[in-house]
Amino acid sequence: MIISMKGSRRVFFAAALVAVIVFALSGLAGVDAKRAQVFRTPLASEPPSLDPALPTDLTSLEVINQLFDGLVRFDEDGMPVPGLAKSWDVSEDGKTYTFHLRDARFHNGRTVTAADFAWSWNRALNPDLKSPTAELYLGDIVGAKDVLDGKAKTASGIKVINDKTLQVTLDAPKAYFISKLTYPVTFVIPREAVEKGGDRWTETHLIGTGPFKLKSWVHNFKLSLVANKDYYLGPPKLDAIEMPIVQDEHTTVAMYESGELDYINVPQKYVDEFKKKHPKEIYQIANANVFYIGLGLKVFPALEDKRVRQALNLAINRDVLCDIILEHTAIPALGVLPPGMPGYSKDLNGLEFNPKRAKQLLAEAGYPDPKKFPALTISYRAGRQTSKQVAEFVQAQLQQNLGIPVLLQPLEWGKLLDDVYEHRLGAWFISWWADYLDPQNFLSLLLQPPNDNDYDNPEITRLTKQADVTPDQKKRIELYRKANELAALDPPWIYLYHQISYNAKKPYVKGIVETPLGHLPYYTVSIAD
Amino acid sequence: MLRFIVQRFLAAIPTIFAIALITFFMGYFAPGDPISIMLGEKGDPDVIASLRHEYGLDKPALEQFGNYVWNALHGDFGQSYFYRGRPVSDIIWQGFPVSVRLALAALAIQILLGVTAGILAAVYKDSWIDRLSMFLAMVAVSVPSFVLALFLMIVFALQLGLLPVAGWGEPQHYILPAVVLGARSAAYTARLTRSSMLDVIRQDYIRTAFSKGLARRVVILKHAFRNAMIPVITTLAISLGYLMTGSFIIETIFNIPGIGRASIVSIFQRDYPVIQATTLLLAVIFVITNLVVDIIYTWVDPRIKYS
Repeated sequence: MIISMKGSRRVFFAAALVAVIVFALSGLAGVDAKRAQVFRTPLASEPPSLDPALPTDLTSLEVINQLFDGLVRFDEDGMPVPGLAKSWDVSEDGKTYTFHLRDARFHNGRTVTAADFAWSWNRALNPDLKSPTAELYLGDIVGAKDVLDGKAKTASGIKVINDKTLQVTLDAPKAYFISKLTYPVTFVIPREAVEKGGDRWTETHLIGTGPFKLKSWVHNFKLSLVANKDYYLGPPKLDAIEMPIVQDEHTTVAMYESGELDYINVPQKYVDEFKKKHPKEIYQIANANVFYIGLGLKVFPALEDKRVRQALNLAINRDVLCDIILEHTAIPALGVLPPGMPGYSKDLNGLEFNPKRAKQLLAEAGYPDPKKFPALTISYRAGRQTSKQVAEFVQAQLQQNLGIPVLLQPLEWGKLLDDVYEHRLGAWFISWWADYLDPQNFLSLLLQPPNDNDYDNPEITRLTKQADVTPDQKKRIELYRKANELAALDPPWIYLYHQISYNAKKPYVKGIVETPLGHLPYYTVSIAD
Repeated sequence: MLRFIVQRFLAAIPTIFAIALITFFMGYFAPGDPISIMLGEKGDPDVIASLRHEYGLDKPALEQFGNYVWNALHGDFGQSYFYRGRPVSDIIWQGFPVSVRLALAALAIQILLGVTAGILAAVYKDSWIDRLSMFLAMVAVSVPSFVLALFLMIVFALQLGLLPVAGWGEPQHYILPAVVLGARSAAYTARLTRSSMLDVIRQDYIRTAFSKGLARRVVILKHAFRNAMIPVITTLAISLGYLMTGSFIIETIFNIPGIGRASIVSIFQRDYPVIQATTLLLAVIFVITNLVVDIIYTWVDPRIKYS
C-alpha cells in the first residue's frame, strides 16, 4: 500500500463534497403543492402542424382545439351546438344554411367576420395547400369541387351576406353537414396572419380565436399556452397550459407520479397498477372507434358469400379477446357503430360466438370440409405488439373453431394502407375512428359502395343514403340504427372490438369534459386549492 | 502534419458519400410510401399524389438521389415530410446544440467519476475501494442504458424527490441523463485509468521520487497521474463522438429535444429527409472525432508520426 489512511480521508472528503454540490445544484425537483391556474398535460408527439387545415393526427388536433374555433362546437354529449355562429337557419329544401355570427375577436383584437370564414374555407379548398381533410369536410358545398380541382378560386356556394351573416349552399341536403363544421379544417383563421407568416405562419404569427393563445412552441419539447382573456364565452379559468412533448410512456407515468403532470392518458400496461394505486384518479372513457378484420370480397371471392362472412364472425370469442388479450381495454363489437355514437344499440342482435353454427354455415356455403377452404391471409401492421397479438388470436380462433387454414402477414404501415386502397388484400386488421359524432361517418362512409371491401348491401345503401339527407335528426338516427342492425347480420368484416381507454387526473384538477371524441377544449378546466 | 489532415479529410469524402448513398436507397427501397403514412388511413389519393409530386418522390431514383446530393452540398436538406413547412436544417440546428451540451455534461461525468474511481482503485489496489470501483464499473458497462435511466428515475425522482423525472433547460435536468449517458464510458475510463496508473506506479522514476522523500500526494498527482493520463486523454475525444450519437434512447426517455430524439422520431415517421440529414451529420461527427484523436496522439506522444 502506497498511500496512508490520511490521504484516503481527504479523498473521501472530496467525494462527499462533490455529492453535496451535485444535490445542491439539483434544487427542489418537486413542484409546490399550491400552484397557480397552470394545467400540465403531455402531448404524445410533436404536432406535425398547427394549421387547422392540415393535420389529421390527434396530437395536432388537441392543440388546435385550444387555439381556434369554428361556427359549431361539440357539447358534452358530442352533439353540435353553436360556436362562433350564435344560430343558423336551414332552408326548406335542406340545402342552404344561413349562419349568424356572434361578436368574437381574433387574438390580435380584430372582430371575426363572415368574410373571414369565406376566406378560410376557400383557402382550405385551394389545391396548393394540399389539405388532406378539406374535401371530406367542405366538399359538400356547391363549387367546392371546382376549387379543389383548381378551376376556381372561390366556391360559389359560400356567400358573405354581410359582416355577421354567412350563407352556405350544399350540393344536396346533408343533415350531417353541421357536425362536420366541428372539425378544424372549417375553423376560422385571420388572413393577415397567413399573409404575413407564409408557409410558417403557425410558428411566427399564430392567431386564432380560441380560449387559449400560443405563447411558445419549442419544437420536440414543449408548447406553452396562455389564457385568451377576450374569449367570446368569457375568460377561461386557467391562466396557462403547459404541454411537454413526452414520447416515452414510462416517462409519462413517472412524471404524473412525481407531480410534474396533472392529466394523462394511462398506457395500457399501467392500467391495473393505476387502478390499485390511484383508484380515485383513473377513469375509463369510451372512444368512438371500431376495430375489425377488413375482408376483400373481390380479392378473395369465397368471402362474397354472406354465410362465409357470418361463419367467420361466429367463430371469434370476443370476450376472451377483450378481457384476456386486450386486458379489459376493449369491449366486443357486433356491429359498425361504437358506443356513444347516436344509433348504437347496446343489445344489438349480432353474430355472437357460436362455433357450432359457424361450421354449419360454412358447410352450407359449400365447405363441408373446412380444410378445403382456400387459405386466408390476414395482414396486419408490423411493429405494433397489439396488432400482432390480435391477428394471432383471430388466426387461432378461426383455425380452432372453424378449422380453416389462416396465414398471417405483417406489413409495414404505409404498405398496408397502400394495399388496402389498391384492393390487393384478402383480409386485414384495421380500425376506424370517428371524425365527427354522426353515424354517417361510419355507416355511409364505410359501407356505401365504392368501399375498400367491395361490400354492397343494397338495403343498407338505400337506408344510409336516405338518412344522409333526412333533416329530422330523430328519423335519420333511426334509419342508421336499422342499417347498423342489418350490417350486424350481413357483416362486411369480422367485427372485433371497440377500444376503450383510461385517463388519470390529479384530484385538484376540475372541469375536464370527456366525450366519445376526446375531451372538450380546456376552457372549463380549473385547478382547485 | 497539415498534409496529413488534408489527406484524412479527402479520404473521408468517399465514406460520407457511401453513407449518403446507403441511407438514401434504404429509404427508397423500404416498402410503403411516406406520404401515405403521414396522412394515415384517411389520406385522399389526390392529395397524396400531389404531395408526392411536390417532394419529388415521383421522379426516378437516381434523379432523386442526384438532387439530394446537389442540395445537400449547398447546405439544403429539403423539407420535412412530416412537419409541413419546416426545413430539415431547422430541425437539425435546433437539436444539435442540445445534444452537444448533453454530451459535454456526460463527458464531465465520465471524467469526474471515471478518473477518480480509476486513481482510487489503482492507489488502493486490492482493497475494498478497488473492488467496489471495479464492480461498479462492471455494472455500468453491463446494464443497458434505458434500465439504468428508469432505475435512477425511480430512485432520485420518484422515491427521493430530489430531481425532476424529465425535462430540459434547468441545471437539475442535466444530472440524470448525463449520469446515464456517461456511466458506460466512465466505466471504461475507470478501468483504463486504473491499469495505466498501475503501470506508471511500478516505474523506476516513481520509486526514485518516493525515495527522494517527496510527499505521496505530490508523487501520485504530479508524477504518476500526468503520465498515466496520456492514453486516457486520447480516448476522451473519441468518447465524445460516442456520447453525441449514444443519446438516442436517453433523449427520448428524459424528454430532451436533441438530435437523437429528432432522429428516432423521424425513423418512426418515415421522414426520410430528416433521417438522411441526421445520419450524415452523425457520420461527419465520427469522421471528425477520429481525425481529432489521431492529431491528439501525435501531440501527446511525439514518437508517433504521420506522413
